[in-house]
Amino acid sequence: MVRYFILALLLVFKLQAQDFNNYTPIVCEGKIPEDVLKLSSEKYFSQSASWKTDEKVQVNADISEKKQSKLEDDFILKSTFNIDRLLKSGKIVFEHPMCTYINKIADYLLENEPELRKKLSFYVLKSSFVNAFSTHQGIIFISLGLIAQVENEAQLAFVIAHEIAHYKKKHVISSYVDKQVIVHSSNDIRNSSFLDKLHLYFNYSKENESEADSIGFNEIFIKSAYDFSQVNKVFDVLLYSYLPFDEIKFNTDLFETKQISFPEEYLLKELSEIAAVEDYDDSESTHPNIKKRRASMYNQVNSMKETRGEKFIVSEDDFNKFRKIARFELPHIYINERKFSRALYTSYLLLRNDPQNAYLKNCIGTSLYGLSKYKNIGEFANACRVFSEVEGEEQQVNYFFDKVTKMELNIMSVRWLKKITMDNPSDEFSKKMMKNSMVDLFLYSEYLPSDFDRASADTSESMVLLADSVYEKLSKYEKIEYKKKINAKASGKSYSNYFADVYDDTFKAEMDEAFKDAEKIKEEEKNNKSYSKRNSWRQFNFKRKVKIDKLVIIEPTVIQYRTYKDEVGERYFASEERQRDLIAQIPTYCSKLNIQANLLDIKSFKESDVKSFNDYVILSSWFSEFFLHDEFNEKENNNYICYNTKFMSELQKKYDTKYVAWVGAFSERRKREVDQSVVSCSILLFPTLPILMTYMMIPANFTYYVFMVFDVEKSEICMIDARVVKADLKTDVLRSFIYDSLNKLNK
Amino acid sequence: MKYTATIVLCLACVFCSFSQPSGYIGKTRVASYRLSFLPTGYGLNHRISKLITFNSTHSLSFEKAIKNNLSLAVNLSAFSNKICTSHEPANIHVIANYDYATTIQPWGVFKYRGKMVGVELKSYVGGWIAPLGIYLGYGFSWNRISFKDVDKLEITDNYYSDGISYLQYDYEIVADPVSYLTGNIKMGKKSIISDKYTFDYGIEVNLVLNNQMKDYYYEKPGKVYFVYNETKERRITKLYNAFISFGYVF
Repeated sequence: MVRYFILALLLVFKLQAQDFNNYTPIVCEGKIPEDVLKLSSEKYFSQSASWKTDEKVQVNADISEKKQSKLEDDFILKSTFNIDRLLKSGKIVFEHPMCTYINKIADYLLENEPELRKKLSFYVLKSSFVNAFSTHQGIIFISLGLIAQVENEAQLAFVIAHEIAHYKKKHVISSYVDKQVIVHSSNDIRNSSFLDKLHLYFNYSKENESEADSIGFNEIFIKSAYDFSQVNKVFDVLLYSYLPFDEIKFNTDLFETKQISFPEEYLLKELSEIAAVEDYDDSESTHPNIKKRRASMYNQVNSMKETRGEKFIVSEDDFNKFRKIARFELPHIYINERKFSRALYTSYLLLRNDPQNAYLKNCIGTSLYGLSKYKNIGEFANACRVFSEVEGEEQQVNYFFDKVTKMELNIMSVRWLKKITMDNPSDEFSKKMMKNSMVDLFLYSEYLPSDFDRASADTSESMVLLADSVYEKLSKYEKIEYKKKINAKASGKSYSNYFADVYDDTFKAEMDEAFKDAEKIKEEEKNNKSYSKRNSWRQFNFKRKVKIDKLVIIEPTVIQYRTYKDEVGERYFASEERQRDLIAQIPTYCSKLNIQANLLDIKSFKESDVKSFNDYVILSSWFSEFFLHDEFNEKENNNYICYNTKFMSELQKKYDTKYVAWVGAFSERRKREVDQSVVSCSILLFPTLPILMTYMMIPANFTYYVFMVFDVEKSEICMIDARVVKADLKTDVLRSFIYDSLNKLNK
Repeated sequence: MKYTATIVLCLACVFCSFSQPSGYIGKTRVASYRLSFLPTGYGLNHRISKLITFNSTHSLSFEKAIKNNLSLAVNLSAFSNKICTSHEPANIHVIANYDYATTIQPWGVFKYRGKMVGVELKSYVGGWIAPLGIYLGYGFSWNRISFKDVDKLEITDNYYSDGISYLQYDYEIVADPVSYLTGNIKMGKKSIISDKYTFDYGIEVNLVLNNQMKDYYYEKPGKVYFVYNETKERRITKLYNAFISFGYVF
């Protein structure tokens, strides 16, 4: 009995432990917090009411109490709605053990201030940027980029203390009030130039930052038992935050075999120096430069009589575990952000400690796939930063991929992905990417599958591509021998070497199939059937010949905007009202049209619907990624397989459909622009002038509406129904459009 | 019989759906009441009689979306209008076959009533889905106008013969019903309130396609014809219309 109990305990423990080999990105756990579930308008009303009873915010600008109160209210409105968008963007993580760990640090830092602690909540932000920020509501976001870069808990604790200080001093709101006063300049400020106004604002902001450093340290951090000296090191983290979390030499060994090696010219002999400048000009920055911040804090830290402290208080093991998770998250985030070279290098760094890690190999495969796809279509700069702009060891990565040819990159991608599928035959996603990459191999070259046949391969010999400088140094006989090899390569035979270690019957069959697909695409492109340029909305509208009677609809985005007279900005309440109306109508329309639709609307979720929330997050990420690779959407036969498709198979099973729809509506009211020719005509036909003048006085309304259905399995658009109408975004307009779009689905 | 046949034909056209349009949230039919009014009608009356009247037409319309941006409508209209003619000489064209001067002094009220039946194709433009939004309408109407309650027209016919001034006569109008066909072009915007009610406004232009309207003419026992060119006026009064409409979408 005891044995079973221990076994059960071990099993539970094993289940809870993070499996880094088959790592899956972190998701939200537990209950959905009220911050996420509550309507923005509800939050605004409650916050606005409580704000009025709070103590007055200290601002730099000299304004009346009434005006300040109005500006504060304006800020709360804008901030509440925008923070709410961030909360449901899918980029935040709640109730994850990592959040619990951060909360524990905050608990410790504020153990003497329970009232303040109660007002704060912490979320992890899925962002590669080294950043943390607080809101007026007491929400503090800590990015995964920051967690991945800090060296110890004490450094993380100081950042948290700094953000708490911002909240405590209400900097975010005072900064807004100051900015608005400057923008709508009054009194003395009115006469100053734009740059002076800008500097004034930046100075206010810098003051806030310095104050947050100081208060964070003197009022919060100092009361803890953390190592004070780590405060100065936080500035190193910030200074070098633009670099990856480690600096290790990049070696192309990873992509070489005994048959393949790359010429030396593909690698930089000398890397650019890391030129992070501490004392940069901060006159146009919201933060003081690192040198100033470091100097200020250095004095405060050194003024401490005792030098004591711990690097870890809550838990060193937890810190290391969560930092590792954060670092494992980075390749995933970089791929989502289309930063393939950075994703590859980050995976490379992590792979050194875990050479057989399947997740990291997958990330490298996906990065190679992305790089090769972008190189094929001539948009490589969008996927890999220009190497001259990159510093440190990472520069080698960017240089290398800049130098490798289109063909070589395709081959590297196919080979790497094939190896992954050989290691893990159940990895359907990698197989899919490999096949797609294989098609590209034939699509962007004149080679035949037989050119890669292992039967003609000389697997024992390495095929080294020589740079001109190296070639010149060869002897006459060596040159003749080399030329023979090159000629053989030109005839296609030598390329077989590249696949020598992965070539088998399955591979051969896959190559043949890919070749046929490539030929088909070439033929279609020749006939100009598949390639469609979609320049205008009207041309943009289309629907594939598929009947869709089951789909998932993601929460619609509705924004009403005004750029007319004093009404500049978003009409938050109206936007929310229209959105809620749409959400309420969609199920009715779907049932009327016999469409089975699952509407993923966060505000309709219950606390316990965290799984549905995670589904929403995956879909949101898929959409963001899909739109990021817009270059491929214009070519019907050249799809980019989104990385997030990998996580779609479960969703497909759960919702029993591969179709996902997104609805967006944006309306704008702006000053009417009248053509000069119309004015001239009206002057000539002067009785029409009053009509024209009346017409000009009435603002112009535009509503842009888009309904898109995606096949997430194929990563392609199945339907676009886009409209632009000259009208305000009224309920009848939106209802009419959505019904029509849904009606088109099952036709 | 002729009217019934036309109405049946128009309704048949409307009910005959060519495809399955979305309509407004699945509602493809609109029954509405329309009031057309003519600001320019005031001017004409005013010129004649200084009397402010509006040339209003009341219509019942049935519209059905036949495609996503097209709808077919049948309209049944009626109007009743009057022109008061008194006090001042009207601008009356006189056919004078004889060498004498004529002054016409009309007075009283002309009242004419019309019935119209028309069919109209509405094209919803600029991304709108029928029956909502901005539309351009093209149609035909068959009009029949009758004249009633016509008071007497006083015509002072002064002619001289051998230095003798002759008498003045009272004449009665001989006004037969007239029928004519108009083509109309319309531009309007329709909104839907609470998913049920429609509100529509716009302008309309009518063109008389067959000019078979009879002129008013007055017959004098002495075989002198005075032709009052009512045709011209009717054309003008019916040429431009502004309208508002309230309806029910189903």
